[in-house]
Amino acid sequence: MRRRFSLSRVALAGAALTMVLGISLGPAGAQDATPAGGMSVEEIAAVTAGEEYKLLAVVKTLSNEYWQTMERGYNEAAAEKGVTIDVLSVPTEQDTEQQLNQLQTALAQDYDAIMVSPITPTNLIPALLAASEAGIPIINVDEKVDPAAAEEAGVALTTVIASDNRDAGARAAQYMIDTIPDGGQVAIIEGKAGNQSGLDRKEGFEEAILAAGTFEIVASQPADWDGQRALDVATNILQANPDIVGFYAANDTMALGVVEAVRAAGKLDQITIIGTDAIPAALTAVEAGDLEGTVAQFPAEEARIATSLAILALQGSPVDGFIPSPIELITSENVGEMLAPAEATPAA
Amino acid sequence: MADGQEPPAFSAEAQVGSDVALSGRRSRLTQFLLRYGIVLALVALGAVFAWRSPVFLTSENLLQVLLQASVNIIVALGMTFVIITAGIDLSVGSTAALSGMVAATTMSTGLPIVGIAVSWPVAVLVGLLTGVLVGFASGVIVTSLRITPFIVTLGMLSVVRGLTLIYSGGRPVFGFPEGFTNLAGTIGPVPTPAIIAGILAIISAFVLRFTRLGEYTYAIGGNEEAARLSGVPVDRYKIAIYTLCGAFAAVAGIVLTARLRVAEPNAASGYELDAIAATVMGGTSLFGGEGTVVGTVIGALIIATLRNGLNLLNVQAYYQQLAIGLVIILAVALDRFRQR
Repeated sequence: MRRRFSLSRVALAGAALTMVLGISLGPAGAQDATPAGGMSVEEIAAVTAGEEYKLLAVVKTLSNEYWQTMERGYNEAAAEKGVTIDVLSVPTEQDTEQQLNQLQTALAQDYDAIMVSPITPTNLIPALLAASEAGIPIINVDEKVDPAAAEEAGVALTTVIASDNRDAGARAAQYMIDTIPDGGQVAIIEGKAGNQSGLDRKEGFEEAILAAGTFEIVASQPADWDGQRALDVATNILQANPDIVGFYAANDTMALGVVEAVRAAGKLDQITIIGTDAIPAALTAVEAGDLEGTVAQFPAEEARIATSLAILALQGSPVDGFIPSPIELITSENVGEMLAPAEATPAA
Repeated sequence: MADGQEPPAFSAEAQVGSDVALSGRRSRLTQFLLRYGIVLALVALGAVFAWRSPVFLTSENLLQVLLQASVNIIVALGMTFVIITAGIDLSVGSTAALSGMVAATTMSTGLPIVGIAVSWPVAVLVGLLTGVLVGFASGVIVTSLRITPFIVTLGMLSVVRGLTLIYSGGRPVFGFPEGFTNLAGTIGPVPTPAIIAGILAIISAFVLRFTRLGEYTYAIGGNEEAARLSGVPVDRYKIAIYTLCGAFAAVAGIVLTARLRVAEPNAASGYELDAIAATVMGGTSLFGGEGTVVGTVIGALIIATLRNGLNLLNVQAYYQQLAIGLVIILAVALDRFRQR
């Protein structure tokens, strides 16, 4: 609290300074307007606010560690950049309409900009239209709003920052290609049928692994993001295809289920399992050597960049278009770095 | 008691009591037929998969099907009792998650609140007690406030999931002793969860068939008012039945946690629907008064067989949802034809 207070003071002082020196800073601001796209992601992430903007962040559900981390990222970004951020969430990832209602209600509270992670590509569009019409900058974070549907409705998204889920799947595939030189049979454990992120991860994996020419996808089956379902599905796939050399799971909850299936089959040494998301339980499994790797996304960093993008938009120099958020494959080699900060951050 | 007519109810008890026994016998006969229909559905399904996949009929795969049905069987046994009383319990998935989570945290950080380290069997008991308390609460609310079970347990579904998230801080818990994870191991070639499910099924069948609790379960579902007038302490037995259902859900949650070696706050979401599907496919009437344990077990086996076979054949995701829904409807339809 204390740190945040002093930071916002600095920010206020900065704003006052800007007003006094308005003329001299003017050209710099104008200059920013065009080449903001030329800023590196690191430069964007480091942006701070000149005044205490009131921002709204909509995440999915805090019953999931991924979104908990993103909420933490927003709170840290608010302190770091000297802005206020209110974070909204819904109980489960099924509550699409409730998320819309929440955002519509919140829009009456005069936010300067909003950062939204919709549950589905289209569920927030009516509220986003209202925001758009009110001239409120919209930063679309992590889960993409369907661009065609947004355009059709007349929603203007300022910037989109999201991890490329196809790339996440492709990274997992690349690891298998690198570490299993002879190739072989692989299987995919899909998320819930019809979920876009899951579909993108699956397709990214498929495309990359097939391009290697030495791998065959013998099964691709849904386990609905559920651990036990993934355990059962992976067991069944192993029954039908005992020679499998690799499993890719579209999230870590399922990857941990696959680990148990493979453990029960006594094949942990022979089968490479890669998950997605790098949740703490999965990182522990990577450290133990049960899970070969997991594709990490960095929701806290994503929240920080999103906050910067909102500030840039309010300062009149919005970054247009799409910014890919950082992703990285975590294996036994770099899991130590991931585990250390994950433990350190909640204390901060 | 609101009815307040104790003396005449005493003489009425004997009379209506024999009615209850009669209807119990009659429904057992029709249930034999129902059972026959549902067995046919299972055999037909098995035949299709055996024809299409060389792996399906191997003993290893069949044991896997048993294992994969286990958690659902355990949940569905409790559900069977509740549905026979013409009630429903939508909170079983959440209850399983909370019980598994409480057992897990007790193992890793000691007893709730006091934090005293205990051995894993004690942790399992604490988890069980959690499910018992949830079931007891549902039963008390259903009977004392006279709200329909659907609404009460729909509320409890959300309340208990919320408690699970609050209690765990939304984070999974893992790192359990070997003895605990062995609950999901094997005894000989047979998966331990299947043995647990089997033992609970036998106990449930015995209770329904031969005990006063079983007799009253059918009586309450057949005609609650008649049961009440004939002197059955309906409220007390209903509370007992919801408590039992909570206990079964807790066992399922603990077995699930042992299987996955992790207790997840979002675990077992939607498992209530699988349990209801198994129970209803097994010939238990949603209107109460009839149903058997054997039917429920076979219903759960049908769901597990279907999922297993669809995986073996690598059927695409969208078609799996379609197939599962159609089989549920067909299985129940087959029962109804047989019944005529």
